[in-house]
Amino acid sequence: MKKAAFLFFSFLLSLAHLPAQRGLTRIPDTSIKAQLDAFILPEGAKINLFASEPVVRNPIHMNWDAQGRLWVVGSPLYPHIKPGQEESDQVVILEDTTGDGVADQHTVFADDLHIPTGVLPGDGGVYVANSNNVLFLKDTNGDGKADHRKVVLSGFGTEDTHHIVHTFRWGPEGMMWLNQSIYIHTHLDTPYGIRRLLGGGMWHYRPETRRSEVFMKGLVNPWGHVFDQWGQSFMTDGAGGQGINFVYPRSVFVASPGASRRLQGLNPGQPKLCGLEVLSGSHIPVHWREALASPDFRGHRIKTYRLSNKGSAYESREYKELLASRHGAFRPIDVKMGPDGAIYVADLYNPIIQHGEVDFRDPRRDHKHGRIWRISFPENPPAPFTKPANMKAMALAEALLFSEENIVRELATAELRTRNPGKMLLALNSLKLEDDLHKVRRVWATQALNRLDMGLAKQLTQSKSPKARAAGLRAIYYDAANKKYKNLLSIAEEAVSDPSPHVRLWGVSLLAQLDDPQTVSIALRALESVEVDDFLDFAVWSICREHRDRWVNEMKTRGENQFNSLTQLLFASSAIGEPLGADQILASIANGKIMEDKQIWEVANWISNKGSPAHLQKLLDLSQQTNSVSQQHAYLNAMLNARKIRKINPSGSLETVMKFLQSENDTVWSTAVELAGLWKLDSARTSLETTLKQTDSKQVRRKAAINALIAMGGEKTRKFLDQQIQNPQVSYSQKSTLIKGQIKIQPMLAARRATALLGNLPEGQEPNDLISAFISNKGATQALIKELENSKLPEVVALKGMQLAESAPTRPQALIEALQKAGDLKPMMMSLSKKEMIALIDRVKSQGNATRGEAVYRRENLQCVACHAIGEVGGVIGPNLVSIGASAPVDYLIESLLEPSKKIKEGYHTNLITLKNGDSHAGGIMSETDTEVVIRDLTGRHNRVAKRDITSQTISPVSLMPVGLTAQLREDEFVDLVRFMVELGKEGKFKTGTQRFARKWDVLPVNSANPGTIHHYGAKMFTLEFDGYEWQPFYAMVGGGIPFDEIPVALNRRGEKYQVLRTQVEAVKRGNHKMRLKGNLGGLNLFLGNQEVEIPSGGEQADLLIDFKQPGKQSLVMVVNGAGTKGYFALEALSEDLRVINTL
Amino acid sequence: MPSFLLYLKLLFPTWVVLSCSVTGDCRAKSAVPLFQNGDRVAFVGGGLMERARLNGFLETTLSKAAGAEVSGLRFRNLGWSGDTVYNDARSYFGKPQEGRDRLGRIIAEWKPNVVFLNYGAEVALSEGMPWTDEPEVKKQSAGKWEDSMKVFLEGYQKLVDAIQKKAGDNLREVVVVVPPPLENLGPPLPDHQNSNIRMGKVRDALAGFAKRNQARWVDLFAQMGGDKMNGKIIPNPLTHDGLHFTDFGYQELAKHVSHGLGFPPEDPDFSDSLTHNLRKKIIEKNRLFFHRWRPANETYLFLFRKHEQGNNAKEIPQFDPLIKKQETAIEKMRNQLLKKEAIN
Repeated sequence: MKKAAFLFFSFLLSLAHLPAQRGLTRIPDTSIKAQLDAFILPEGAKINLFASEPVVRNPIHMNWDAQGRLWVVGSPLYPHIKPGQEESDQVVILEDTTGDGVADQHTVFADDLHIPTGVLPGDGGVYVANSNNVLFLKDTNGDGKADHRKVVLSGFGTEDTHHIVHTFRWGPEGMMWLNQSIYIHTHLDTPYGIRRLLGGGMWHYRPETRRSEVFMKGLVNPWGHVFDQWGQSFMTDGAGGQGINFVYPRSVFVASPGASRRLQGLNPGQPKLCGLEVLSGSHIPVHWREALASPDFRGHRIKTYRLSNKGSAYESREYKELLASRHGAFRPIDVKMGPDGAIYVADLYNPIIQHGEVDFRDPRRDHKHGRIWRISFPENPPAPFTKPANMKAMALAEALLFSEENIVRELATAELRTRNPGKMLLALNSLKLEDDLHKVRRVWATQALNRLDMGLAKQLTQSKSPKARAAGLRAIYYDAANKKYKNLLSIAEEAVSDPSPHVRLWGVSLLAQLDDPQTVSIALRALESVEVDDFLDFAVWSICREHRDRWVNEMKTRGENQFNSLTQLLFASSAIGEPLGADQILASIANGKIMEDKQIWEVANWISNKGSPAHLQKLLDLSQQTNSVSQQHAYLNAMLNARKIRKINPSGSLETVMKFLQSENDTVWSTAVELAGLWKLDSARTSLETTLKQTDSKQVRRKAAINALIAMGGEKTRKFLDQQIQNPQVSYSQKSTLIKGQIKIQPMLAARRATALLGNLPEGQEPNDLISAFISNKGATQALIKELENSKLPEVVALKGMQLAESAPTRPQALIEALQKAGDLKPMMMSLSKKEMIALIDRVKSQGNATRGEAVYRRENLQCVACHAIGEVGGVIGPNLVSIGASAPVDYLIESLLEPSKKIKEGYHTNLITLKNGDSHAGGIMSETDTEVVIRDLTGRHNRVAKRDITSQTISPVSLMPVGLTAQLREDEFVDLVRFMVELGKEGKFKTGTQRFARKWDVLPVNSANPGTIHHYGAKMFTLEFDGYEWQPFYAMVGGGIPFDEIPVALNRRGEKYQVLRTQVEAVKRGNHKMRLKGNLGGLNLFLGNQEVEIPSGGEQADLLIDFKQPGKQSLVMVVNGAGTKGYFALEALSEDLRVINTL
Repeated sequence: MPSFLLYLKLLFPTWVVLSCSVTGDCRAKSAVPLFQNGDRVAFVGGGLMERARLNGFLETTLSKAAGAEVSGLRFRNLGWSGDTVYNDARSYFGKPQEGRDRLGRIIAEWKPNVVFLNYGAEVALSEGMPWTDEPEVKKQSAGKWEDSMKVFLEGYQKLVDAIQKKAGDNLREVVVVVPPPLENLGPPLPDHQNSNIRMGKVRDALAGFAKRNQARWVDLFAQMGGDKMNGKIIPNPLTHDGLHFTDFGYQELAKHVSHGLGFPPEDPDFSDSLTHNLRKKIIEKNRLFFHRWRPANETYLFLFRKHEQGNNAKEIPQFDPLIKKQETAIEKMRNQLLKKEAIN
């Protein structure tokens, strides 16, 4: 171990002598042919070049006009204008006049733009995103170039040029939709007052009224938005990883600043996506239709997804790949259906993407090229297309209502807006509507003319189809806020009790637009007698908050519960986080009307956050009356948090908590003890000291006892702690725990004791914990620095300390120096010279082995897997690495491994919170309220911090990834690891495919406790209910396989080894479902529940027919029973209606 | 009392305090000209000011109106869409305080001699809605009209005080520009009749506010007919949505500002090629200055990701010589224009 950290660097020095060959300057072949050769297409598809540089350069966004021409914006200026550079980005119009699928005419419509990120032709001109403004450009003299320019919206933020306003689209209702990303803070001056959106989200804008409103908030880079045929909105995220997101009014998603609750996307673990389109129309093969296509720009491919209904929202399932490429500069970032029914792809063309981690002026960044590709299916005829611009009123109306080509209806909607409304309404009304879809489309058409046919919209809300009912409500939703209509309340009222949760969701959304005192009490009905999912729950929660004043004022006036039930009151009060009706609810617990553990926890947490001291006293009383350990814990925990976060105590006598010092349950005991400490109940002291003196006390009790003694403080505590620390009978780990407590009250003394203890670190003991305790408190850090002035530390201890200090968010420089001195260490050099870097890159390319690298990656002591996911499975602390190789240059990967803080991925910055007592907390902010902040630390633990204890809250420039993790690797291992990362997401073995492998498993640890009935049950023993099984997470390799040699041996009985894993699947319906087992099948035993599944012997692959006796989620247990099994196995779901559950 | 007033009194012991009637003509007839040689001028406000940078009419008009006796005028447009007296729009990741700090920094750097301020439309347009996120006053801003006005005036006073503090002794003149009236363009655009009634009240309050601060003021609301608008549809609008001015509208607005300040009524002829070229130069200078003082990518250049790409911030000051070059050309063209007019 000695000097291990330096081994790797000396090897780098030796590499520096190798000739620099390619490395940093090697960029992909820019020829069209090179790109064409690199595409991988599905069967029957063909790809051709529609347009390229110099006509289009670095295209970002595109949309078609009603003449069937493609408008494209691109930005060679991206990422940042240089001093002296003109604003010279372009809007180009491309036209294929001959129908051969190639643009043969182009016009530069405008060439004086500044990073235009959105383009939308319509209203006789074009809307263009121009950094902080949205412009409307128009050609008034017919020369094909813009000569009229108007700022239509101003006030968009520009904090990051790949976040600026983007993703323009006409909605079916004739509004313009536009999005912004996480760092953007927008303040629009509108004729209706200022509208603000801070962080990511989506707007809609109606040009004729100039009204812009926020539709939803959140998502990191919402670069894709599409409407399905019923007008529901779906979005993708270019930095989040949840695939398709179902969004609806007021919904809030990941990364929305200050949000106390956020919704999830439909496909966790998906790569970052840019753009979104529904594949549609008669030209494309049936099996592609209605799939949602979105480019994975990092992985050089276009992924697709299929939606199905689920509760109030949808389920999204990954479908086939539409396109992939081996070309490193192919960057699909927009995809649109074209008028001929083909699929058009905007290729930014760049080996380098974004500019947070790669220098603005990196010479490898491309500013010249750009391509628009066209995917067609030559066996099918082109889709029929008449230019909506040339249609007479009746033809246009027919296209709007009846065309089965989405693109035709879309372009017709934009065209409609430029026509005489009276004439168009006449035409629209003259056409006979055959079904609900036709009705929905007519409602949209009237809305696009800003003349909503309210009668028909109301009729829709009575349709048989829930989709049509929801569409009717959504149409009414937009106009409801303008208060032009009366009697909308009854429509919403009916909708919230609809049999379909989806319709209820829209009923609640409509209610949120209305100005009626009853909105909340009506909305709460949506939670009754259906299964409530998170989306519906969120909508109701949201209206309870937004319309707070309405119902709270009434509640205060009446003095009693105005809602139908106490459950409703509890929901509404919890939503706003106020203790309204707390007395009634607590009384219901006391008289046994509320008894379920889940509800008790809910009430207790709510009182903890919002209740008065009198309410807390009631919790203390209730805790005395119950024998349920869970409920005791709920009450005690609530009082503990109230004390910690809000600094309040129950109003009466506190001594009754002493009862729980007799509890046999460790959690209850520890919580009670901590309370006793904080409440300064001296009567607990003896019991605490006894616990600490006894050698067999559990660690959890010890910790609680120390915390309690520290909280009590005083001479007695100081004396007791130091006596124990000085006592030679006390073990190292116990001393370490005691010193960590001592830090809080006597940091100088603690530093002295710690230095002495670490100076003679017993063999096999880790110093990390103790050193970390000093690093995470400012005062303690100072004390340790001072103590080290005159002390020495063993080299190994000092080295560990330095690594910890280097990766601490506070990065205490003085401590790093003190440790260096105390351990006689040389400075840690982590960065490479350019020459060394080139040599290393060369080595990765010539000698790196990705398969070996994956094994390195998976090593437990490297902890990669604990923090990073690859695709669906793995930790969530760090960025998902699913396509890192395809998106990040090699030098970036190497740099990130060696110096994690140098480049930090968007959304993975560490927040650093420093408290009044000097403690610091680092991690991601999970949620925030008036009184507290919840921060998730490196271990994934959620820490609640009282706002009033905070002295500063900053964003740390230090990554959460510990420094020096790779220092323990040999040079070849490091090279292999980098090679593995380089391959991730690229075409080949290390790209996660669409095969549905069981990837998330649990395993039993080595020498796991067991019921001891193996002789009786055999392998089946592991399917039995047994408390002692401590399942731990275990993930499949990128290829889906489980390597036998990594599975812990849970039981070794006379040389017979048992390795045990389990995974979860969900059967949509009962009956036989097919799964495929691959790999080395000898010695495998598979169980569904406790029913054994027969595995055919021999061969390397077996298709299993498994009888699911009931639908729903269930466990599959795999027991590997073979000495020294080599290789791997993989389990894959084949049946459509069997889902593998790879997420938590 | 702000030190600014003290300073004024020492410097101009005989200075006549400007008095303006609420509805009447408020052209400043002060003995002291607004602009002096080498003045640095700043425009501060919301979208009205910000968008003025894109067409240059206001700056061209004022620069010409100052006359041949004043040279070396330099203007900086610090307008920001969606801004309020609490400087909401100028903050990025923080509370409005961050926006005030940002404005404070540029004021301290530019050290203006003359500051034009334009706020108030956002208050008139936001009845019952919060127009600021400033934690202390957000609720009142959405409350009763009197409460909303109270926190507006308090905020405005703090803003003026802060500007005086940051600009220091350089600051000689503050000009309070009352927002112009909102135009009724007919349905489906909103009816602004009530908003204009509120705007009139904003103007009334600003009259006293300007007086208390011994600031010059320009009552664009009265000058542009706000008192006479009774919800009628405007036949020849100056705005394209009731709030935002067209190019033609900005020309008219610039005239009213100039007249309101008591400058002679000869307005620039923007069809004249020299005037046109001067205005184009001004627009180009404004463009360069925009990239200089509120560059894109601030997150990387100056904020919490500067440890990654902060090295690129070195490019930002490289705009300074480019701006200077434009200003030299602007001065030259302005002299030519004034000379030509003197001859004519």
